[in-house]
Amino acid sequence: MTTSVFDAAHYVQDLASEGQFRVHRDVFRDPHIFELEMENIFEANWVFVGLASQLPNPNDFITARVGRQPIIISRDKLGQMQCHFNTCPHRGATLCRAQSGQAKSYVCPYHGWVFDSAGRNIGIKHRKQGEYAEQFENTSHDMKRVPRFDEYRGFLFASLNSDVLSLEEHLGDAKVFLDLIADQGDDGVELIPGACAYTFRANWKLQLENCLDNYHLTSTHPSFIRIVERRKEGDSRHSLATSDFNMLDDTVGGGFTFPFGHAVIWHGNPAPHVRPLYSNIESVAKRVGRVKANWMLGVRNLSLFPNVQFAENISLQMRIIRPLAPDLTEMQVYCVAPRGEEAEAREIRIRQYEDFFSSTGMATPDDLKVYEQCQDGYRAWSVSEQLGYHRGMNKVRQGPDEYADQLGITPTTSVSGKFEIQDETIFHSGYREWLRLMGREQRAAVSGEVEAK
Amino acid sequence: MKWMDMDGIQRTATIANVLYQEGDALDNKRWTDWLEFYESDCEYWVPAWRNEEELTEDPTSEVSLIYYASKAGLEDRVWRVKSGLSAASKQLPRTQHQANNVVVSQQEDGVRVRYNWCVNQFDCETRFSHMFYGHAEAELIFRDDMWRYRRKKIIVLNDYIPSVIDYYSL
Repeated sequence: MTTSVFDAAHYVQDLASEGQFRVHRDVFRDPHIFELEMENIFEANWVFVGLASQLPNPNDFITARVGRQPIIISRDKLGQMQCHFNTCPHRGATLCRAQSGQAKSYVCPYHGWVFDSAGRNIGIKHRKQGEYAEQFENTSHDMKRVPRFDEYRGFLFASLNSDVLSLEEHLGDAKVFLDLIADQGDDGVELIPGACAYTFRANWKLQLENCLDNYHLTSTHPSFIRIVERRKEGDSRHSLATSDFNMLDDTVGGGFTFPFGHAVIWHGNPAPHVRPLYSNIESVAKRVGRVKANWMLGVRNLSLFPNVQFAENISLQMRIIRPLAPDLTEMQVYCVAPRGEEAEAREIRIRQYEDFFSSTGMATPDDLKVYEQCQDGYRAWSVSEQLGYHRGMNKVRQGPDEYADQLGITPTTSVSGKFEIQDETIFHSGYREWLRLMGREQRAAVSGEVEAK
Repeated sequence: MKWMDMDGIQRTATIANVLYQEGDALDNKRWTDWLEFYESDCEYWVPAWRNEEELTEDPTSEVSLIYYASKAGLEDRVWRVKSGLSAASKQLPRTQHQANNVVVSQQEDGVRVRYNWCVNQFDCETRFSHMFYGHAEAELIFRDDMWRYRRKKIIVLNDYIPSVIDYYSL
C-alpha cells in the first residue's frame, strides 16, 4: 500500500506562459484519481443541484446528488428552501425515493421515523417505550443539513464542505452568463417537462471539454450540418428552422475563462430570427438593454465547473454531469425556456432541442460515441501526452477584451476572432481548478512537513 | 381475403404481420423499405417521461424523445445513417425486433393497433448487448397494396439511454 501523497502537478502542467499546457491522460482513466476527484472536487466545493423553479411551492422537493451523496432539496411549509442529506439519521435508509414531488413530511420506510419538510424530526416510533438513555434524548434527531446551500437567481448549488467561498465569489463574473439566461423571461426560466437521462462509457471531463470545444463541430457533426443544408436546399422535406453552423465562418466569436474553472464560448448569430427568443426580443431589450439582448441571441455555451453546462446555440439546454466511474458518466439534460413563453416560440424551442441537443437527436449521439472512442484510446496506457490544449495560445490575452467590456466583466483570459481559431486555451481554466482542488492534499502535506521541521 | 370479410383473429394476424415485416426491414437495414410503412403525413412520436409515472402528453409544449409531425423527420434520420458522416451511425448495432400482445380494433377511418415491443441490440464494437422495450400504439390504413402507418406513438419504458437510441432501436 502506498502512502505517497497525490502529486496533482504531475497530471496537469500549466506552462501556458511557455506555450505548453499538459494534461496527463491518467486523469481520464485512473480509478484512484477518480476517487480523489469525487472527494476533492465534487464533495469539497460548490456543485450545481437544480433550479428553484423545479420546486416552486411550499413542501415541494427534488432529490439530487452532490458527488456520490444523495440529497433532498425541499421547501418547508413557509416556502424556505432547505438542503439535507437523503438518509435517515436512525439507520440510514433514504427518506425520499422520487425525483421530485410534494411532501409535508418524510416517513422512513424502515422504522417509521418522521421528518417535516424543514428536515426536523417530528416523530420517533414508540419513543416513550424505547428506554432511551439521556444521551440519546440530548442528541439531534433531525436530518443532517448539507453544509452549504445557496442560490444565485434560482440556480441552486450545494457544497459538502463548509469552508468554501460564498457562491457569488465562486461564480464570479461567470454569473453574468447566468443572468443572460435568467433574464430571458420577465419571470425567470423553467425546465420544460419531459426529461431524459443517458450514460456514456467515458470520463466526465470529456463532457466538460466538449461543451467548450468549437474545434469538433465540423468534424463530429457533419451529418447534422449537411441535414440543415439539405433542408434549406429543399433536398429534405423537413422544414424545421434551426442553426446553420456553416454560417459561423463569417461571424466573430471567442471565449472567456473565469476563476474556479468556469468558462464560456460565444459567437455572433448570423440568423437570430430562427431563435425562439427572437419574437420577444424587443420586450427583453426594454428590460435588459440592447447589448444584453444581443448577447442573448448570440451563441453561448457556459460551463460551470465541475458539473453544469448551459448550451445555447439553438434552443437552450441544461446539462448536469454525474460521474459514476472513471469510464462511466450519467447525464441529466433538460430543455430550458423563459417562463410564460408564447406557445409558438415554445414549440420551435422544443423541436430545435430534440433535433440537435437531445440524446435522441442527431448531434449528441455523435459526441457520445466519440467520447467512448477517446476513452478506448486512453486504454493505450503507454501514451500519456495529449496535444489538445494548444490552439489559440498565440491569441489568448490576460484579462478582458472589447467583448468582455460590452458586458462589463473581467475574465481571467479572453480570446476573440474568426470561428476557425477554435480556441483550446478555453479548457485551461477547468484544469487549473482541477489542479487547485486536487493539489490541496499535497499542499497541506508539504506545509505540514515545513511545520514539522 | 378482404379486411371486411376477416374475423378478429384474422385481422389481428394481418396487422401483427405488418409489425413483423416492419421489424424485419429494420433488422435487415432495408431503410427504404422501412420508410414505405409510413404515410408521408404520418406523425411519429416517442414521448419523454415527465417523471417516474407520467408520460408527456402534448408534444407542442413538452419535450419528446423524438417527435415528427410528418415522415420527413424520419427521412432525415435515414439520410444521416446512410451518409457515413455520423460517428454514432457508422457501425450500427445488430438488432432483433419483436412485437407481441397485439390488440387490433377497427376505427371509423382506419385500423388501430396496440402492442408491446422489444428490441435486442448488440454493439459489435464494444460487445455490449442492450434491450429497449415498451408499448406502442398506431393507426394504419391500407393503400397501394400495403398497410401503412398514419400515426405511431412509441413508449420507451427504459428511458435510460446508453449513449444512442435511434429509429432502428425502436
